[in-house]
Amino acid sequence: MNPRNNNKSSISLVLCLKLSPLVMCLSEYGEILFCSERLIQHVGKDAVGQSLFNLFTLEGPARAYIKNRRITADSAGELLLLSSQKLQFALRGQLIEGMYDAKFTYILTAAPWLNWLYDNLGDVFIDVKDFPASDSQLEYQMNLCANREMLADLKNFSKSLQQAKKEAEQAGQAKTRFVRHISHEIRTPLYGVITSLKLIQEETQEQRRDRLFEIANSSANALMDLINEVLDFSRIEDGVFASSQETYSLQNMVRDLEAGLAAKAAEKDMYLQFDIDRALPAQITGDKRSLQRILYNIVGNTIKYSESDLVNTRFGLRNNGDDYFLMVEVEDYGIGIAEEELVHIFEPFWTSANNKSNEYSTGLDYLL
Amino acid sequence: MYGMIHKSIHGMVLEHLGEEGWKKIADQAEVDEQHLLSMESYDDHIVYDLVEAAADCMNLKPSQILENFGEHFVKKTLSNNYQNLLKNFGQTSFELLDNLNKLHTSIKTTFTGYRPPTFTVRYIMLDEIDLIYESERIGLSPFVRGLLTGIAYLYGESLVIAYEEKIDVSSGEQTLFRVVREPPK
Repeated sequence: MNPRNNNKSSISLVLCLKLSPLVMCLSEYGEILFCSERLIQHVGKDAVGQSLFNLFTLEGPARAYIKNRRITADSAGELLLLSSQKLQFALRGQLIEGMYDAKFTYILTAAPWLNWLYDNLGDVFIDVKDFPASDSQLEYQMNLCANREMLADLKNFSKSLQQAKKEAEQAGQAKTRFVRHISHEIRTPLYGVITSLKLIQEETQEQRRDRLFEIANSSANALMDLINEVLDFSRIEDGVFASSQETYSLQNMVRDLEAGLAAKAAEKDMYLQFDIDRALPAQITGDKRSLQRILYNIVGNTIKYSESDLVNTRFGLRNNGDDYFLMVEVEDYGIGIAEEELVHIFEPFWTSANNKSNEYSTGLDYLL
Repeated sequence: MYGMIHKSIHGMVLEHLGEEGWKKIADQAEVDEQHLLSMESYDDHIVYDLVEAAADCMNLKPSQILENFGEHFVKKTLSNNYQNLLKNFGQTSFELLDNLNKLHTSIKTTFTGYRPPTFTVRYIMLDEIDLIYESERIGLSPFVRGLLTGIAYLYGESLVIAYEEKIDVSSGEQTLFRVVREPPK
């Protein structure tokens, strides 16, 4: 039944075969007169001679176009939807009026009905060779995939924006807390300076004046420390806190550190002990200023909050393969920090709930 | 190129070097876009810069990064969302390669800015083809090598590039790959 052999009556069919790989010719009563080779792969050789309505369920168009299993001229041009659970196949196509084997016939040019196949058969694989070049179903499927991907992108994007918004809000709140906190922290030593100076003017006894001078001086120093910490924090936040490398004597650095903290320790009758492991080289290379600053904050904090009379700071050498590390341990017997609070120690303006002391604190020491 | 490519590189770097590695590579490549959208078209230089930076960080040649990326693109990116669709365009790796131009034309109907390469398949034998890759972009042949590895994985086949030859062209790039499909072991 090759239509090419019948030049007289099969022109329409030849054209249809050029337009679509899945073609069938039908009599007006739905008898299948011809199936293209690719369609036979889906419906079987026995399909020719059978009724279309026995092989497939007519899912569309409205039954008005095909009454009593008889195809009418009204159905020509309509989108025809056919499915078959038995064949595990579904078609979507158009009927046109044409000639086959010198007889009037209806020609169905079709393509696999992808949505039905996916809905009913799951992950079915359809060959692109079954589709007319202009069929847009594969593009539609591609768009669905692309849309799914786009949706996932937008969800991620939206999640990131929400996170950024939350962080911005938290940063805003942190700034507000900072201003409130710093204002409070500044007020205490400032009040110490102002009150002492006022009382000095009124005080006649030299001994009491000396004591008031001491209070004014220590309050002013506390104020200076606080302002320095805030400035350092601000520099880190602005990214202008530059790290510098230099070779220096660890022993001299420790001596300077001890001298810087001696007055604070003496105020609390505290003894500072510094032990340097002999295995450490005399000269080390690194960011001396930052290390000194970190140690000043940690040991200084220990002095501030410890209730013991000894703070022991040990400098040791640790190695991991070819890498060597300077390890510093600071030991005291103070109030300590609860384990659940350890995660917060590098957060700005954080102070321990255990801190009941009256010492000034910006909550920036560990962060810096 | 579409963001899908950039995102796939991102995925590959994350898989091998983690978030820190990605930050390092993105910084070196000076990629500002933090949220690339798969279906948005971006400048090609982003991909080239990322490949250069990744090669630098991983101490590999850029061609090796591209090859790894081609494999990753099929195995991880396309396999996630597009596997069924890909298989509609071929039941075997050779069929898919033969239908790649049709696939690209379909994509272009929606993504009109898409500038795909061209693939021509010439059968030497049933299990041996010459695949001619033509692109207006330079230097992406190693990516195709990786794609072939990924496609072989997708179909559970074993493809071997028996021969590869750059063809002299006045612009763009053209490479011939002789691909042999080996019988399953």
